[in-house]
Amino acid sequence: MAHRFFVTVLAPSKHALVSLNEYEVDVFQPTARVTEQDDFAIDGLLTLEEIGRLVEEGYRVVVNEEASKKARARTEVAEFRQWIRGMEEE
Amino acid sequence: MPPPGYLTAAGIESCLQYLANTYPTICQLIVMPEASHEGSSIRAIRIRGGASGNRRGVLFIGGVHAREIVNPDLLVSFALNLCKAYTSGTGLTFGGRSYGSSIVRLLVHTLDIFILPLVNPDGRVYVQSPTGDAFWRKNRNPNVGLPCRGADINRNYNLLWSSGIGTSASSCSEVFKGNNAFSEPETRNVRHLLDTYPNIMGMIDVHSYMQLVLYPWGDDDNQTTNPSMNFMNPAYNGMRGTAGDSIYREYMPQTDWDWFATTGNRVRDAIAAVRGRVYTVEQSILLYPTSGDSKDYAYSRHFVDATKRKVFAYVLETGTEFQPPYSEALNIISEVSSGLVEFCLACLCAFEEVVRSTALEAELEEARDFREHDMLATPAGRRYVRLLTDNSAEVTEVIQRDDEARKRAVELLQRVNEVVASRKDRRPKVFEASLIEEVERYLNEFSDKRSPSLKKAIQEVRRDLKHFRGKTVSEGLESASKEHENQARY
Repeated sequence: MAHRFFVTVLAPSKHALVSLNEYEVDVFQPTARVTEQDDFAIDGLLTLEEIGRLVEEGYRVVVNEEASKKARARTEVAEFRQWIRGMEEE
Repeated sequence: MPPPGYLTAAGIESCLQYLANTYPTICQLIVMPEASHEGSSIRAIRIRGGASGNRRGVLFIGGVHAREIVNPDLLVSFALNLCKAYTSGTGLTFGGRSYGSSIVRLLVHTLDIFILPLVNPDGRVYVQSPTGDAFWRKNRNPNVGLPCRGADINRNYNLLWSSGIGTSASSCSEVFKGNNAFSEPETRNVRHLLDTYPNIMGMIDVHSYMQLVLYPWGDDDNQTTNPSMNFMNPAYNGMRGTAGDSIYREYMPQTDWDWFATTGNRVRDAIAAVRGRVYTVEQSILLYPTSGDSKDYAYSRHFVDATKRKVFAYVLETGTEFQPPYSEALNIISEVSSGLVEFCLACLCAFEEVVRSTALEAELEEARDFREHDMLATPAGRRYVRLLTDNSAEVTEVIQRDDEARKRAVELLQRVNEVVASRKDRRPKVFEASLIEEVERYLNEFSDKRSPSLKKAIQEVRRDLKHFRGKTVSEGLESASKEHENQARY
């Protein structure tokens, strides 16, 4: 699987923001917002190729972090017995 | 030592089984009718105690999007803490917010609390597998004949599914809406809960992230003046899905919008009270319209079929990332649990609790009709409904504790109901002075030793009683509304 990055995509207009849907990239709809600089922004999880494509189309893309650094679903896991012991002790 | 990490899909299942085994008198397992694509059984629980039968239901679901890893843990933690507190007769404390043991008892005795913590078990297994994808979003539908796996469960409900607003027909998209509405077993399971338990009137679908409390509609901006401009009207096909334009706006009655906003604010405040994180309450369209999602579907059902109960449905977007360190997940679990308790309290109806198991219970439908069409149509009536809603939990608690207070309330309500029930007659009845005086006396006594909020509400109602003396209910509401309007003007 290609490396992916957590990014913030900055669009020049609301229309351009919503048009991201057409590129079939993984952007997180609830994070759509207007920044203090009046940019239309949305967070997403993109490959380098996708970032390049969006930049070519006139979007700005701020790369925040490589995805694996934010992946904790596998590394911070508890067995049920440990988990329930912790809950019962609380 | 708090729990050290996230549960696996199997761990969530074990937790449900543990709840049912450990708290069998209040926790009932519900097996969903459909297994996942990969054969996992999917289960929910219902928490209810006490003897009363006919009660309101709330539904919490989570784990729809596989990578949003906190929320199934959140929901089973919430269930466990609630059951523990109820059984041991203690309260619930979340950081700076506490709910006493009487509130815990009230929730368990008054509501059916349904929790479906892991809608999409296949997705979670894949996210937690060493050979999987930690940021997988969809279910694991093999999509035979299509290039990619998975459908976005939260774009698969039957609410403008065909419109394509904020969705994709491509299986490789993260927002692939599926082959048809309800093509996915996970969405059919949620529909099953709403169909099977028609007492459900409140629902929260817990997602991540962005610290939001979102309410309908998601396809377009809301409007309150043109009921025919709605998602069912084909005349508007092709016009929906652009926020901020004036071509199309989705209809929502003003009173529903008020309920969504007011209750959303209560949830926000309860979350903020834990450690100061302030969630934003807003209509879900934001900048980015969507269709086929759970909350819009749940809320839409009563418009499509008037025999179905109205479900006030929200989406919560918890936290600030999909997979926070578990130490931070525990903070999110704590603050959002506080919001869920508050949502349950907002779903209580003091009136229904007062009249339960009395002759007046048979008049509930009529009472709802009066509320919808008479009370909510006047400024004064809307204010009375809001005052009761805001203080429902406390009133219900008192009534459940104090048999005498309940008995007198029922007697007075029976007499009030005779006047209300005659409102459509050619010669409607009026409120006798003696009844008004008795109501005033009762309210005086009831307000003793109550919270400042309830005292203030009772004071407001008492001040308005003069408008109803010797008047029909419609005349009283009109007179009280005029005074309110005049006060607002000056």
